[in-house]
Amino acid sequence: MYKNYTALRCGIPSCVKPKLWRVMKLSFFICFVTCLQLSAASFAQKINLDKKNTPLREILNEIRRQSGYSILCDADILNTAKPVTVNVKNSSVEETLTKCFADQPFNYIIKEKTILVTPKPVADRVITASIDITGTVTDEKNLPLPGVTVKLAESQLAVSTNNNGSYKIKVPDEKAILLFSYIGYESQTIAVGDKKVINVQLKEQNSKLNEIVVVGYGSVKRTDLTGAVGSVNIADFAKAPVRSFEEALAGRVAGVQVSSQDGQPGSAINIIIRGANSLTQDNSPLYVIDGFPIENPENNAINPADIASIDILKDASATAIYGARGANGVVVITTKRGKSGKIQTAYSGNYALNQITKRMAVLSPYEFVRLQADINQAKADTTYLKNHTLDYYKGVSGINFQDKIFATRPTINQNISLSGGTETTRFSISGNIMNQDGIIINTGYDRYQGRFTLDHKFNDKFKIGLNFAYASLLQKGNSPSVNGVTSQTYLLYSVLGYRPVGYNGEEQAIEDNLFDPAISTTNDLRSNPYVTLQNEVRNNNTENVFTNGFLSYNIFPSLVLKISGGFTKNSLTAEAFNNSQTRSGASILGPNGSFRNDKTLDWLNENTLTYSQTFHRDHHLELLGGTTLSGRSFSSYGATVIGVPNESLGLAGLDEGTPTSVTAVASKSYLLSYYSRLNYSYRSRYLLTATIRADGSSKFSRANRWGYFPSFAAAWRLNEESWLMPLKSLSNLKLRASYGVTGNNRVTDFAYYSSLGFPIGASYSFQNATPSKGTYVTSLSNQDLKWESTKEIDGGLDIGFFNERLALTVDYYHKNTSNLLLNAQLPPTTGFSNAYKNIGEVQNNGWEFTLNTVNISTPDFSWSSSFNIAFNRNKVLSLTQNQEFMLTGVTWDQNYNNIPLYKAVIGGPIAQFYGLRFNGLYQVSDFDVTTNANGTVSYTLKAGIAGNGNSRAAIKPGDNKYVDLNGDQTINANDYTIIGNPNPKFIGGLNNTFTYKGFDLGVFLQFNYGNDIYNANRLIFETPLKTLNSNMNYFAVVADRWTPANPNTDISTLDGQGITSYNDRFVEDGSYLRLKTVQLGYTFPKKITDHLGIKALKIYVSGQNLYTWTHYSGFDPEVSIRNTALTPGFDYSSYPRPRTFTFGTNVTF
Amino acid sequence: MKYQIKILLALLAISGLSCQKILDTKPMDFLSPETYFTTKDQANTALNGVYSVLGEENANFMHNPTNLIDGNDEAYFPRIAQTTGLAVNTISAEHVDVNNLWRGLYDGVNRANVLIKNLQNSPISQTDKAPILGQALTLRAFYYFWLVINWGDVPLKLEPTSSVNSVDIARTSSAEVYAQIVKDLEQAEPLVQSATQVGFGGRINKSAVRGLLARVNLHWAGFPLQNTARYAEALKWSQMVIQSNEHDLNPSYSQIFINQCQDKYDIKEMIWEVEFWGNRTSDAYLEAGRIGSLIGIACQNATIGICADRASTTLKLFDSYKAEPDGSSKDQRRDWAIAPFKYNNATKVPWTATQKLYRNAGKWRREYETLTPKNANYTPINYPLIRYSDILLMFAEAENAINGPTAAALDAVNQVRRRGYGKAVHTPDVTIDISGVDKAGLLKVIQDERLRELCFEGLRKWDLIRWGIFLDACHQEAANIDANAQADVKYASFGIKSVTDRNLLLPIPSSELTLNQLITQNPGW
Repeated sequence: MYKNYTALRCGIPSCVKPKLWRVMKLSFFICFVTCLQLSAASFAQKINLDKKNTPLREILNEIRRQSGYSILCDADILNTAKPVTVNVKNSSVEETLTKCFADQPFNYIIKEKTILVTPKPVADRVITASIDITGTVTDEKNLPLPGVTVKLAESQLAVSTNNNGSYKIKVPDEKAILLFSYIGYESQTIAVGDKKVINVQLKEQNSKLNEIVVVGYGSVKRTDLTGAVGSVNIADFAKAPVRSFEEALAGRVAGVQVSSQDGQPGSAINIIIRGANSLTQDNSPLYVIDGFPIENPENNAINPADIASIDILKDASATAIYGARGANGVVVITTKRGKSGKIQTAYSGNYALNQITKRMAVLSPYEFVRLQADINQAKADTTYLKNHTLDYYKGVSGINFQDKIFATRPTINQNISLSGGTETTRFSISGNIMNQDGIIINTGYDRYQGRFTLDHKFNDKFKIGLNFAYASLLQKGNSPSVNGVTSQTYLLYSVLGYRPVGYNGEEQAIEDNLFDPAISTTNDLRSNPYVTLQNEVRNNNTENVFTNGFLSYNIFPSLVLKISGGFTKNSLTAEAFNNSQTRSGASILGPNGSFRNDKTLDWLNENTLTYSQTFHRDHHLELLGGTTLSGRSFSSYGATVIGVPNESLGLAGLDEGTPTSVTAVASKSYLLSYYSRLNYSYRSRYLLTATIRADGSSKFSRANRWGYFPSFAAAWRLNEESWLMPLKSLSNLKLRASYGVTGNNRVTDFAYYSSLGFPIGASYSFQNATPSKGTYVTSLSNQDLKWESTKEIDGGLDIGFFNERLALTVDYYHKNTSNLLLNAQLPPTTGFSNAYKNIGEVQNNGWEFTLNTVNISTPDFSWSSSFNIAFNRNKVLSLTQNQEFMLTGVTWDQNYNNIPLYKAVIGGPIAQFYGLRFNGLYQVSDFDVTTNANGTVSYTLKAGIAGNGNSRAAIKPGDNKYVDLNGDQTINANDYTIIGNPNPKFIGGLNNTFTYKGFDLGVFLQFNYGNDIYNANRLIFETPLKTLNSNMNYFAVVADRWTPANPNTDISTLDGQGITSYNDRFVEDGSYLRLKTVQLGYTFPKKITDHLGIKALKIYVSGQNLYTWTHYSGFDPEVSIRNTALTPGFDYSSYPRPRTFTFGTNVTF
Repeated sequence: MKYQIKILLALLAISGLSCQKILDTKPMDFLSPETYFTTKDQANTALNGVYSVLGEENANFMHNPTNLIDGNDEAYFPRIAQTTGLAVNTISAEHVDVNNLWRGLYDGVNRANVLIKNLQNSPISQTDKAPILGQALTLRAFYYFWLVINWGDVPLKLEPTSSVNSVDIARTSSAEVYAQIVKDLEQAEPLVQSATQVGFGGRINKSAVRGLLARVNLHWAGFPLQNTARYAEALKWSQMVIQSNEHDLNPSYSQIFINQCQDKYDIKEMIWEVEFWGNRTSDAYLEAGRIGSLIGIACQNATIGICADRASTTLKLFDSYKAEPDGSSKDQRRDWAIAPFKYNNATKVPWTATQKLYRNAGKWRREYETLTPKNANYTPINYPLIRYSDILLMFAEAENAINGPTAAALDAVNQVRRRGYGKAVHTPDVTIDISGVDKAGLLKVIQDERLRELCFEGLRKWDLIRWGIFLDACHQEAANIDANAQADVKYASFGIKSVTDRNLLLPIPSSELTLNQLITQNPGW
């Protein structure tokens, strides 16, 4: 109804279908005079009118313009209105309306600032009314609702509620049914039965503007929001067939950058809100799960089907209530709870197939053998070419381990839920079983999860709630990108680098043996990846218990005390075992294994008092005050054992081997906080929010323990101003501004202490005895350590047209993070390389745009879209002491670990790629060519042509050439320069939802533009070597390597890399547009489901990561295997991201 | 209901308002230095931490002495592709090895400073304290000695670092640094036990401190400071070692190094050595070194012991041993220090007489290693810091500088020579003994004798520098190689000829330059 009315107000009568209108008419009612007896004092506006024989429509518009009141009425009935002649001066709205409506077949009701025009009551029919029903109608906050229509079903009899929300109606008998309806609220139907008093609470109708947004310690209507808060559209979101909600979050909310490390089930997902603030510390947001704030929770423990809402607090006014932990943004997750009513059972299940999207092209057997001949002709002649000619290999298909280890594998996901309850007690129980098989064999993820919630209302004042969840998670299998000493120990090195053919009938041995018979295992660490995957045990077993509860007590109707508490316990057991059929187990170490048990316990007690009151109708005040005490303790114990004699026992046989290292870590921290928030609104037109939080943390010394984090925000809803009323199409216009300070305390728990370490490396052996333990001060105390603080301003605009069918939100923000909790480098003369210091400054600023549109809306067909895009720029303003820049390397290969790949330079972004510029290859013309008596040709680089870091005598045609920036004729670290930028220029998403009768189709596109990726796979597989690793396969492009006959290429000749370095040839554009989620569903019509005896039935097919448009040549452009703020966008041996096709059903019983 | 409200408010008050104390936490899994150093064992544990730097891998110090050996007139890095690094004298302030060496030494200095400072107020008895303090002072002096001979003026810190904020520190003049080193060593000398009392070469003893005093004073007397008054000090301290009668030359030159390979001690000859232990295969310690696996004879056979040879002889070193017409040498040191063969898997294939530059440094041979199975990279082989032959040669040099070629000076040199030729050390032998040289002549003899005797032990470069002949010696040898080497080893001269004036000192590393506002760079870098 609300929708129809509003449409009329907008002056577009055509959007109401005649049939609907008839229904509406039926619900019209007699308006009691009591409704008109509203206090004139509350109307501030005075009306001046002098009109003769003017259509009522015009008169009403004039009143609306002058008073600023909204007018709701049916355009059709206005056609029946008589022309009006009226002359009033300084008259109240009420007086004016009374005059205008004198002869009209209408009545009016004034509710707050809305004038509702209704037809005059039809005279009572002959109803033998015999029962008097009375009652009160309230809204969700238990405030009385005046003007609610209370109508006797199948009659014209209707009354409406008075100022106190109460009504009185006569009904004929106990079978009577009452309809309660009110603009903007959901209608309710109640059978009278033997009741004499019927009290009704009406729920507000779901409209974008009325949407409830969960913020810190409370919730607020979107219209009343002063800060920048992005909400995930859960209906669209739920269509993505994913294990964890984080996987579906990318592209959903403007300014929220989600990137997963790679495609492995359970691999780390990094969420950065509005750019990274911190250089060396964690930039992940704070999560608030059902009111429980927690850093780095185990998000896989949450079943996405249990999530009721996800709201992302972005600006300081929204996050400052979380003070010291709010600077990285806050993700607020609320899970579903029981609803009163009959017990509802629902089942949803789906079966998905995960499939690899791409394979890397490697050299064919022919090209491989040709390469071997280039490496060493003499050796090739006695091996590959002994019994066959080179051309023979053109007909050989060869072995490609990609075929053996990549497979299409299923995911089975099943949810069951039960919920229901009475008005006073509600409950829900749900369970989830998910078994996901990764696209690399013997990898996968299992989840077994259950949840229980209970809400109970003892009386109107006293409520309690309980939430308990348990999850058992198992991530299994080798992780291809896990850190190794050299690039050769990574899984995909062996997969891509294994040779495709043997000679002399070795094919079977290549396929079956752990080691290729032709390679020397001391120099070349390739091992059969198929055998490795079958034999390496890697299990990460997590148990997660999440419990919290609250108790809320209305001390007065306007003052609520809420006490909540809870704990989360996460226990991870990481197990690894390498039997003799693995590289490590076959080495000198013998079968070996390790385990580690990490336990994290978070607990919290929170007490809030909320005072909420409206004064003189127009002034609404909400005041919140609270205290929180929370703590986290962490422990990790583990051991590594080598030389396990009975490998068949697996991990259980570790006790028989030789222990080599033991880990024992324990730590704890506490946080004590006081906070307060004031929300004030004047007529929902001027809104003001102020918050302050004081946090005391055990992570800092007494003097610096307390941090204070204030914020202010104001919003102005211009569409409520009378002078904007004539703009009929405008449904919302709000300007927001906020400023606030938030903090970050992500340092280790005892960073301010000096610690005396006993690292094993500090031991020393005397007289050949087992080394004696040594100790030294391993970290330097910094008693001055304090909070990192981020100052942020945000300016926002929310604008909506045509009853929010077109809604745009624009935000600009500017953040300055200073006193960075920097794990700052110290000069080596201190004896320390790093210490935590508050030094350095980083700036982020950017724009965010969100556009929601309803393109087509008819009862049968609808199409709505949602688009968001965000631009963030970050900049380093200062570093430690007089540091001009900071270089960071990536740990992946011992030859490259010490070479910086990233540079953070003052004035530039936090991370940029840093290295040499590739300058093509040396050609023969660059050399003086001499031929000696034996016919041996030798090449001497011409004077004036720069070398490539090798000794000039060693440089040959076809070698890499680099840009000699300083012109010193050689290439070294002085020629490094910025070679790429891993930060995207913009990110975003586009979602389209179509419905046609029972069908619905969701299409979600996600994009990321302008970021570079360093593809180190190519560094290895496009740089053919002669001296090492013969019998190794390379990418197919290596067939096009430089030879005198093939000079026009970028692929160097054998051993042509020059100085060991990163160069820009492998910096690739990582931009992509991804068809991320498509779901086509069909909901069976009610008559069929009724027939089947079930409430609802939906079947669907969906796809995830269906297609990606990108120029990136690796498996997938969403990759960052060593992700930190300083080292994003590095790819080596990453787990390919699967494409997933899902078939599923949702049944509600 | 009133009652309930009261309870609730009471709960609120208890949980929220009175918990300030909970924020005072104490570390759970580590100790704080303030509460340590109260017992002898604790102080010894801290002392181990100071020693540990000697053999620490990333300190790139003695653990892998390639950088100490290659790139002067005794050895070169046998890889054509090696065009950057300390081993080929092609570095910049950014080079990781330069940074690591500096970092490792200052790390050691700070560890020593912490121990020395905390010992002052410690309740440990003076008797227990003395040897610990003596060793800590010696180690600090040793680390500063390495700093001053490599970088010249360096920041001199004698107190533990206590603040993360006041980290800027200026350079102290080399003379002051030398003075402090000598002061520390002289303070340590009476505190530490004698070599006999200690009984093995791994722990600092009185002879080691005296030997270091001799070495430090010789350097102070030489280039660049040329404080010739220090020769007397060098003479005094080396003489004290000799006169202690605790030391003598091992009759067999090769046995010195075989002992090291076999984890045997020889306190008479090997006064102080870096102790390496284990091989990281059968233990979790990081105390294994790379002597033998990097400084050794190239070998691919795991039973003999894999070695990626990182040091080979120059022509000068090889030719410095007197050769017979058939190419052999009666100086037994040559074919031990320089491997006369290569391995073809497990087979020793002798080099021909002309294949000089191909020969690897052969003092430490993995075939003698006793800890099996052998690890490809790590060995328990110790590395010498002060040998008695070094003491004798230092004595001779100081004596010659002050008194000229006296009999005592000549005898010291000749003891070393006789042992080299396998003769009785204390029996004069006219076929070997040096005689009838003048002061300059004896200096030249000592310079060459040190090359023959102490090659690959990480002393040569700085000996050349203090004699003021580093650049000449390098350039001459580079020219020698360019003229006489076979084509495929001509590259051996690359690193040796790269030295220029600036190579007399290393660049102050970039990690210090960018973070310490008071530091300045050495000339030419």
